[in-house]
Amino acid sequence: MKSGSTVKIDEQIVDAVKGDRRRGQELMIGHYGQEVFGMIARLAGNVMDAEELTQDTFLRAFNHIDSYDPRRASLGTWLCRIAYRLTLDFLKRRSPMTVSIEDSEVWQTDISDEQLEAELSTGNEERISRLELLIDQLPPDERTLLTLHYFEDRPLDECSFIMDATPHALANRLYRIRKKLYKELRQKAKGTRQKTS
Amino acid sequence: MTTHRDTDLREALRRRYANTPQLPTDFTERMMERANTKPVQRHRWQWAASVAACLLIVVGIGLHHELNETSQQIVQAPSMPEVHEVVNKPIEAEAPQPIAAVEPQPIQPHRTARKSRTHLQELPDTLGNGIWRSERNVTLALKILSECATTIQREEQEVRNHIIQATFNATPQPANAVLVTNEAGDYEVIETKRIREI
Repeated sequence: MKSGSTVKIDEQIVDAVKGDRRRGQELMIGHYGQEVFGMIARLAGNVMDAEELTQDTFLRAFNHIDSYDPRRASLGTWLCRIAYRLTLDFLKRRSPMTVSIEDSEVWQTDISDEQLEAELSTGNEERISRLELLIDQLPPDERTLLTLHYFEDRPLDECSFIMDATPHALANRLYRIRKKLYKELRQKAKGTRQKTS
Repeated sequence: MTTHRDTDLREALRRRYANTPQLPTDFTERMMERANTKPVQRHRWQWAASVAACLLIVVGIGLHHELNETSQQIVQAPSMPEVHEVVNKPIEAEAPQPIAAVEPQPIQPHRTARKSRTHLQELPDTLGNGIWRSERNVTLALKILSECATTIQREEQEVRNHIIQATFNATPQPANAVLVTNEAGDYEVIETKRIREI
């Protein structure tokens, strides 16, 4: 949720960009540069590409500052939305996305949301390390959703604005990703047990 | 809305992205440089393209005009005097009788429609003389042709008369038969009785 101070700072930055353009641009970069760059870097996985995409994001924001509506989202969320679109386009151009073969099998595993939460909250060191590796194998959009929701602690409403999807659709997608991760963890555990026996 | 605890997943993400790279310190400077120079570069490039396009159009128009003028000169100027000479020379040599000089005809203003006054002003004063020479040539040719036709008719008549005379002398004729020339100049054999009637 947007706090009063954030709203005030956003207003000041937007006014500055519209008025004294150079000062406003510097203010915006100084305030939101790291947030946007971090998100892009996590998604793109390359610092050079991330820097280029961050520049593109801010250039687009400067040129379309009039289309920013503070009632819909904060300035940071709006910038993240632009960054997400640009990065996703960039990744699609670089390597066309492929749908995981396991996706169709995920739905066959019947497990409730509560059970999933319990399975993903064990505190098991081995599981955490395994999850760390599995995160890298996820498609960019799924990785972004996990990062925005779990790492940056953004509510689904905000995630839905950034990723241009309804909160309900994102909740379903999140459930599906968690289920997929759980299934991978279980398979790994089965394989280890068989090896030991 | 459910808030997922998923501590394992959160911890995995925290560890995975613990070393998220920091924004370079000179990022703002480079960003500002790019933000303020890129439109200028585009502007210059657009200007260069516009100037090049304009130059190309001007050169194209000039070239087209030049080609048009050259083709007009090729078509009009050299062809007319040549025709005059070619037609005249053989006729003068073959003509059995001297040809009466053709009276000079008054040169009338050229009535061919022109595209514009400016174009008309640019034309030389001698333009069109060749056409009048060619008209005179045609008149001469027609005159010579009519002369030739008369000569041929006369020669044919002479041959015909010669045959008639020879036939008259070689064949037996009635006593009152005589060879006379009619109004057209042809020989004709008639009897004297008929002459009296005539």
